[in-house]
Amino acid sequence: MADRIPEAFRHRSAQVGLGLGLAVGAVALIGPLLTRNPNATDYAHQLLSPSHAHWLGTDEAGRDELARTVAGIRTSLGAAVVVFMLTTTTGFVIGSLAGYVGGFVDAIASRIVDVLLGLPSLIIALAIVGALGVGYWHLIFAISFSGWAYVARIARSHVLGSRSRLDVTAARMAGIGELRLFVTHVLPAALANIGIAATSTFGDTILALAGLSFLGLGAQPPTAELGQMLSDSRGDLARCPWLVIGPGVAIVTAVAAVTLISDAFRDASDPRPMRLGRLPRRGRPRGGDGGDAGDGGDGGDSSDAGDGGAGAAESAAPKRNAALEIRDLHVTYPDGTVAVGGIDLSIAPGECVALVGESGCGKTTLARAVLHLLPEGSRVAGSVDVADIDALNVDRSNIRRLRGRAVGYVAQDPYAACDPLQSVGRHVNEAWRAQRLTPPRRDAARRVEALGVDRADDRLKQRPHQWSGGMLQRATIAAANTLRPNLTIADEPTSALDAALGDGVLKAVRDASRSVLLISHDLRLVGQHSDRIAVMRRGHIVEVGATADVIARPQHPYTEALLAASSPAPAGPRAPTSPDATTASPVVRARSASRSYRAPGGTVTGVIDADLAVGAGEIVGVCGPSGSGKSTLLRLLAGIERPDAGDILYGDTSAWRASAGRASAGRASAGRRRPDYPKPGYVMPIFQDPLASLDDRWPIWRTITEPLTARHARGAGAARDRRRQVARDLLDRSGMANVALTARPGELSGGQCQRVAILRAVVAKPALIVADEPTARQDVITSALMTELLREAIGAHTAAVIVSHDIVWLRSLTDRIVTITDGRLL
Amino acid sequence: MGQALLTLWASSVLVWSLLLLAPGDPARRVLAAKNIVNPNPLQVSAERTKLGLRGSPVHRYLRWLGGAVHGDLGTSWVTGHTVVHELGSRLPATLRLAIASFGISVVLALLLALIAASAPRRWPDTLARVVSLAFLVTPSFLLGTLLLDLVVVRWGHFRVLTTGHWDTVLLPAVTLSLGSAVVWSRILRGCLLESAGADYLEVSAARGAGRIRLLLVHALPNSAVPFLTVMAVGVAGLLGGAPIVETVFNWPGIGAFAVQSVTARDIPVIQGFTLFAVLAFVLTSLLIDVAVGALDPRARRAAAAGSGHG
Repeated sequence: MADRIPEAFRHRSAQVGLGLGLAVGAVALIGPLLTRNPNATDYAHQLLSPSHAHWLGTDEAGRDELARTVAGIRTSLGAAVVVFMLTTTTGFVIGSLAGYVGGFVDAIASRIVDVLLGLPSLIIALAIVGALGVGYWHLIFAISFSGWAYVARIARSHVLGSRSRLDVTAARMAGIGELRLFVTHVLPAALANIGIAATSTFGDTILALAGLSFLGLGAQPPTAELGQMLSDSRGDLARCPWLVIGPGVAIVTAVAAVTLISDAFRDASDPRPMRLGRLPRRGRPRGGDGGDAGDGGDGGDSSDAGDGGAGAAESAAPKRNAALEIRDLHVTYPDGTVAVGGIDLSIAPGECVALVGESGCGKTTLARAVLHLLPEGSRVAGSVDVADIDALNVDRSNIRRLRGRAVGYVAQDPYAACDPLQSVGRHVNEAWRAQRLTPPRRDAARRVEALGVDRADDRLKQRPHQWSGGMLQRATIAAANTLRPNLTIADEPTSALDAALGDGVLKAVRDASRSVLLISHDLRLVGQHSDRIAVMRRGHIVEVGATADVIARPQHPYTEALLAASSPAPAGPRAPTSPDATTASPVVRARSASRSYRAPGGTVTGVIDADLAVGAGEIVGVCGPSGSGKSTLLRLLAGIERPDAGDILYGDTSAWRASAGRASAGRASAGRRRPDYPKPGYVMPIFQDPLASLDDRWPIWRTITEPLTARHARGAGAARDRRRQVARDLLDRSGMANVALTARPGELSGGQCQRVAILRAVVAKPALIVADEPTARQDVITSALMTELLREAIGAHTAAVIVSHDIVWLRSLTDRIVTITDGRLL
Repeated sequence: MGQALLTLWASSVLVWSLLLLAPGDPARRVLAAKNIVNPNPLQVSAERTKLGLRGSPVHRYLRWLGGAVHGDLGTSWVTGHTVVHELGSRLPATLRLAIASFGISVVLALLLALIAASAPRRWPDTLARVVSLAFLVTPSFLLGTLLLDLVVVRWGHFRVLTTGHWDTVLLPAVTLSLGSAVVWSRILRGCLLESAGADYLEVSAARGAGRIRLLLVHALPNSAVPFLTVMAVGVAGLLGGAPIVETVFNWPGIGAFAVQSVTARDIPVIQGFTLFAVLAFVLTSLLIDVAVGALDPRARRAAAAGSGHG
């Protein structure tokens, strides 16, 4: 987040804030040197209006108002800075300590913080000043007293969250000590976030100080303080209104500056797009994309050469009865990216056409263009006709004919597609209501039942989070087809679900719809459900034809690559492991290990009574549906979590010294106790989310070679130059020769980040590598590359346990596969 | 619920222990207020007993707490009347002010946020945000002073003297409400825009929902939950702002009275007022939690889990 700060300050409001802040700061620092004595009274010249001698006039004691304002700014700002330092330091120390040490200290500190945060701060400040007596230092103390709790809570949650951070976990497994972890990983991010959070309260502090001084509780005369000056001038204000200018403008400017600056900080951490269905502008695409000059090799096959075998050339007259007719579509996003560069596609009524390609190839853009949902400022050219509606030029009055009636839409993630606050039944009937029609009785129930959901009447009253993923997607399909649209667009309808459910959902899509545009990255899956396939790459269609033809005889090299990546061959027999591998102790062994968690609604069983042994050089795959416990098993084997019952052994020794009574279900502090590894870096992890498993502040050379800085390995390996050299070697050997050593994870793609994570795992020369769905977030081609690297990295002598829900992929990589269902190994 | 009781109890300890912090001898001060300038030890001792200053701190705290539960918050050191009487006689005025402010705040916040969110980054949004920012950085005492001393006194609109009743509540209520209104509208706008990026909105749009339906039927209720949570903070703001606004407008409420008591070091009144304010705040927070739970069942489950962990 910190690296987005310079970008946030490019906004005008942030720059205004910065400018104002600098101005006020300058006044506070050097102003008093340039103005008269603010305390010099001159009763002969009371209440003068502004003049050359006194730019802001004089007050009721004859003192120069400008000088007093400047002095007041210095007083107010100075006090606010003191409060800021007090609250930030106290809050940071107490919060971090509570989060780090945990246990009793944390319990007490959290209670105190919660209570303080639950009280209205100004009232408490009032009470404290009442007890101590009026005075500026008492006021500062009082405001600090109620202010530190806010910082403490943020510090605590930051430190607590960092315990389970993936990059910290990986470093801990490599043998890095807790203190070093805290100082190098947790502290830098914490300081930045806490500083920013504390800044947001700076404005309130200034207001509180001024407000309570206004009431006479803070600075006492003759000290100049802005709030108190306002209060003193009240009696004379009617006759001398200029007296409000100095303190008023000063306060407003200071608070405005701080607010704008802290807003910029907050925006840096949370930029959000805004989409409420705007109409895009029309126009020719901008330079850089001249028709389909793009990729070499796609030549003229952007036309429907294989359309039904009828060989009809693209005639000038549009097919009126086509469900979808796209001609020469170009879409350029507002930031200049060409998403779609010249596409022709048509779908006949009753047909199911699959649009296949990697993520980023433009499939979703195409869907949005058909639905007229492109972001504002996009440039489009070409034509898109659905039934007989021109989707690109549809005006406001016709848009409801297009969306819902002519085109239906099934989204990727059913949970994200449903308004979480409304019942599923309302979601299914949304199209009726959006068209301002009344849904017929039992219409939703009937359609959902037809797709295989039983007890529909009752279940439709439930909320989305109470339905399972597969069922909810069926409800979404029913919702999309409510008004029997000519065309249904299904955008990756199975990606967010378990592989086993994919077939059922796709069948449901076909059953419920008239014509389907099926968008997916999984060639294998759509091959069984579509009539024709169009392969898309970087905004162009590279091949299109009948499904059977395309799969059996792919014409384009890209299609071949996609096919190969979608159905990897099972792994051949690996180099035979050394004879004493079978007699030696297993690298890791789980013996009747069990672990469960406490969750809202009761206990969730992770793993029950698991027995598994992995020998040196063996690659074991763990397969199962989501929620089956495979990740829990992996964490137990890796020593990241401690089993509630049973044991984990590395070699011959137990990882967790058996201390009876210490294991209790759901102890979240298990991460704090380290298991006894035979050596640091014995087990190294590869996590599912590559970006989260790398510290985003560190250059990759530092991350890759961090295991070399563990205490046992220090000396030869730890010198900076040596580390950079090692990192450079590794990167070169894994196909990233063009990536700089100082690159940060944010600058790399997901696939590159995962490769960096693999390199980090390897550098520690572990005996065991554990990988949790290492290719989950990648598309087919990238994950094929990853598999290669994994195979190399694991080598002949390292053991590995790999978790995945994709059994076909596992078969291509592992020696044996174990399945886990509902926590039990089969 | 348990958290609320704990807060109440902890703040009672905090509030009561303020007494220990106060330097000087209260007995002498009260006697001085009664014009007994050089009291002899017997008088001081008698006064100390009367004021309940005898016994160990724990003992005195328990006595005070017991009294508080029964509605006896002690006696003012300045006026000699019971604290309950002093606060009670001024409470209705503050309640009127609070209710009026709250209503104005909610209406203003909804208006500003809906205007801003319906046309993000266009001129109504920018205007609404500039207006919000302007009122956010202008403290209530500045605004109140400007309103009262310029608008009322110099230019002669409205009435100068406030009565504490509905007829003169407008200016003070508007002043008090502006602080919360702009904070709420900023947050509500943020929530609306955030949920505008939500997938279910795009899906609904794909079904044909128009912009208004998206905003009112989908975005707004989903934003209501975080908004309600922020309202709790706003109530704290109202409570804290009341003393200042009441002082500016000479509104005869408990806020202004508390300020006078602070200046006069009238500890029992300060204790009573603080306790009352905390009680009001805790109750309001509880009510809001209940409302949030009713709106969003997921929050209810999360809350139950949170308190289950303890």
